[in-house]
Amino acid sequence: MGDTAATAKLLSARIGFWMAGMNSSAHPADLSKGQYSYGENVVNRGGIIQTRPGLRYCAEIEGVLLQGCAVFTPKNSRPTMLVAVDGKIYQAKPPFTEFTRIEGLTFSASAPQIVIKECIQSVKQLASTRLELIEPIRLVIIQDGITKPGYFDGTTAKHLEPNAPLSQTPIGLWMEWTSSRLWVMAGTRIVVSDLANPTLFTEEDYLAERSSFELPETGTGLIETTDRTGLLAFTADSTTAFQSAIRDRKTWQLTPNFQRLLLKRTGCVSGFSPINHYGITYWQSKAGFTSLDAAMQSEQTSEVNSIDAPMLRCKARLSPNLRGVASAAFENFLLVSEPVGSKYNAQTWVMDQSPAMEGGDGPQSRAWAGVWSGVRPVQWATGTVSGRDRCFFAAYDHRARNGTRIHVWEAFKPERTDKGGRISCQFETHAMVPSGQKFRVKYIEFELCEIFGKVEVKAFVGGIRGPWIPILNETTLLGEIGSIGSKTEPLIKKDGLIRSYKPQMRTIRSVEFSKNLLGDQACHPEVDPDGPGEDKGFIVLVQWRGQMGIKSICLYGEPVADKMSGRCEKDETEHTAVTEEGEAIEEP
Amino acid sequence: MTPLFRAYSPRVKPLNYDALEADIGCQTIDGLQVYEFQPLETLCVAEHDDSVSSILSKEAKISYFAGPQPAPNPPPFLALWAAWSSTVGIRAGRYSSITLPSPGLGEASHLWEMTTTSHLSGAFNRDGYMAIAIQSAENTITIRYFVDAEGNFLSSEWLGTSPLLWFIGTLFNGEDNEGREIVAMYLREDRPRNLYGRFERDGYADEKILIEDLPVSIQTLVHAETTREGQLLIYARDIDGRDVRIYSNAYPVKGSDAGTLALDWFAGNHFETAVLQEVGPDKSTLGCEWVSGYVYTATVTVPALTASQNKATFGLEWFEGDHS
Repeated sequence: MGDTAATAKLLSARIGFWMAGMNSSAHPADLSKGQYSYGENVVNRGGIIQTRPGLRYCAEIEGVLLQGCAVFTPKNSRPTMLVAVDGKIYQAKPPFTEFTRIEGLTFSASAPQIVIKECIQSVKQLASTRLELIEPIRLVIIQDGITKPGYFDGTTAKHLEPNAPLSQTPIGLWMEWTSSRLWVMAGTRIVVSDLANPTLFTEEDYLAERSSFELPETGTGLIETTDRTGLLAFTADSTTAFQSAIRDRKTWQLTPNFQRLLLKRTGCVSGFSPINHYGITYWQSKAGFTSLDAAMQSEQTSEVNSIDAPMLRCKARLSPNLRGVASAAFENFLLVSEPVGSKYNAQTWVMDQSPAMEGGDGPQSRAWAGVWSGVRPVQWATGTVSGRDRCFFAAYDHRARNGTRIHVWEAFKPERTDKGGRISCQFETHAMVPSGQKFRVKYIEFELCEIFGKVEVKAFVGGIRGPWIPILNETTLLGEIGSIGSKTEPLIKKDGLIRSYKPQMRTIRSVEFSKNLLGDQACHPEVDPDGPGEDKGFIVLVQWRGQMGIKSICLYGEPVADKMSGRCEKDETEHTAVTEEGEAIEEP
Repeated sequence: MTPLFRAYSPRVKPLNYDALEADIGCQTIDGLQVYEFQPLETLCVAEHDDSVSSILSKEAKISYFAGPQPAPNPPPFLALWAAWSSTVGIRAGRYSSITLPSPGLGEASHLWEMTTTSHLSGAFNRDGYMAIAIQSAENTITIRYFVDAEGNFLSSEWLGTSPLLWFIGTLFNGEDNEGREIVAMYLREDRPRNLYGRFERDGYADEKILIEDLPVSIQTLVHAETTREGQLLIYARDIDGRDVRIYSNAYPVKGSDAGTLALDWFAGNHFETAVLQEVGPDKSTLGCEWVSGYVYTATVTVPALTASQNKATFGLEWFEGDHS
């Protein structure tokens, strides 16, 4: 939607149906239909911008350095969440609210990351070197790159012995379990376990009589390809592919291109970032968050392709150290936590692979919903818990709770609240241009929906240039959430009904624009002193706290006569200053 | 794509959202020390419940604060005072509970005799002079405070809401009140997550930030008192109507506490010296003075103590002589 209309001396522009997602790579005046400049803590399902799903607080863990987390399901047991903090491994059973330390596993307290990889062991080596098939055991191998690897199957926890005669899992960091073998990255080497036993490394068939595979540089990550036929091994600047699905190790040497340098210019800088989502592999490269198809295209063209260009507004504030970037895939959402404006992952960029949802009539292409803030995820972990696919993460948060900043959360809760608290959100439109000519903004109408509970909403309007002008003062909207205990039904009678209430809709209007709204910004250097509130396009910024959606925004204005003639511009004689918020600073 | 080559510089309005900002329970905060005002260090949020938090249901037109007992009762026996906005003006007196409007109780305040307000707060300073701050306009606070026993007062006015006065320290307890003064705490509409303060020594003219970026947005400051542990406890309500309690670091017990030890012994003997065994982290000095007969007075000067150290143990050792 993007209609414009001109009635007698009144122009209007209505925008909505924001299916194309956030795009901050181009100026708001140049965005295409359905795009918006910025969204924070929102999703754009069905083209309606609304508060993101909520977070459930699970637990806190005492410590200083959060090193990683994972969810795995031991044999004949409920799922277990594992969290690595200060070299110690903690476990919890659903609902993951009480973590206890696993005795017998101690890793480096200073290792930046600890990798926990779930594997399945289905053979056991007997003393006679014969192999015995056993009932498959689910287990995790834990590595920090320094300490002897850890083993945990839900009951037994121990460190493995890499050296002969046991020849168990060698020390490494990044790991991948693919085609019944554990691939372990140790520096520039990759070593591969025996078939169906991630704790045994006795088989020595590699390429060219070597005892391992070699990478051009130190390895930075591993991931199985989406079709499960291969493995991608990353360094900071390259990507190597292995045909890991070939189970017969004897044939590896005979297979052409068993190891192949796939991408010579694109590598991975964070081992927690590679993720498979609906047939495509994504990861964080030096150039940005990328996908395998985009990276392959970069190899064949002169372009450097990353898929995060629409997030450029955030990308411009990235920390130079991207080692901690962490990704997750959950349902149609792809999440990547990035260190924006911080050395911690202060923002999670969210891509919706299908904003129109399955079966919808709208476009099906992926779109960035925006950024999610409020937590600082270190690693994400998804799994089936209590019969449902669920998404968890361990975070090093800004605020301490019970003396620690290390918190475990569950994401994608339908309540759209964070630990019961209302979520602050904001949304910045593209520039509305009713006529292509200069006009004076009059007022703005907001069509709001999905109002549930208490919501405070306020809005600003800004021209193509100049400051944000507060045009809608903070306004409270109240949509009753539930009947039980609410003012509408304080008593539950035995013959009464317990009803659920639906989220509500409102149409609200801003005040009429006047010069007074500019306040101390009336002399803004970017604003024409003769025509405040006049521009060729206007952007609307809406901020709210609570559960709410925006269906459409309509801007009304009046045309302004503009002299269609040239003029002689004068030199500016004084420097002027404008803050990041767009406000002019007066001289002291 | 290299971020350096971004097409345009956006106007950003940072949201600074924190998922734990609406957290129920207690968490650590990082307040600032200003003069003798100790940093605020703990914030607790709870759903409002009249039955457990009556002080948080107090009307903003009433303020309760510590004040002096009338003569001849000596200090440090404090009384609870109240100031309230009645229908005819602001009144004050020694009351522990006021039901509004009570225009006939107490005395008309000479500071605000004919004024009414929606929100006020009172306090006595270290010299026993009363100060009352009121919400004089929608977004304006005015404080008036006596400066002598003749009834002369000064005033100061600033932008803010929800004034809350508190005397730093304990009044009239014989302690050295050096550096102790009234702090006028308040909020600002444009920064509801900050707490501001103005100090008596500055004539309430300088705005100081006491804490920035609180996890919750404060709507009203309700009451301030000193806990048994020596902490400042601020009662407040957030914009969701929840109860908020903010605790400071414990205030040190400053100055010299006089300890009187009566000693008696057999005639003909005397003691050379006595040593205080332990007071907080240090041994401290003990002065002994003959009073009369066999009675001596020992005056103990202790260093500044925190709340956790305020249990001093007095013990005496004899170094010479025969004593029992």
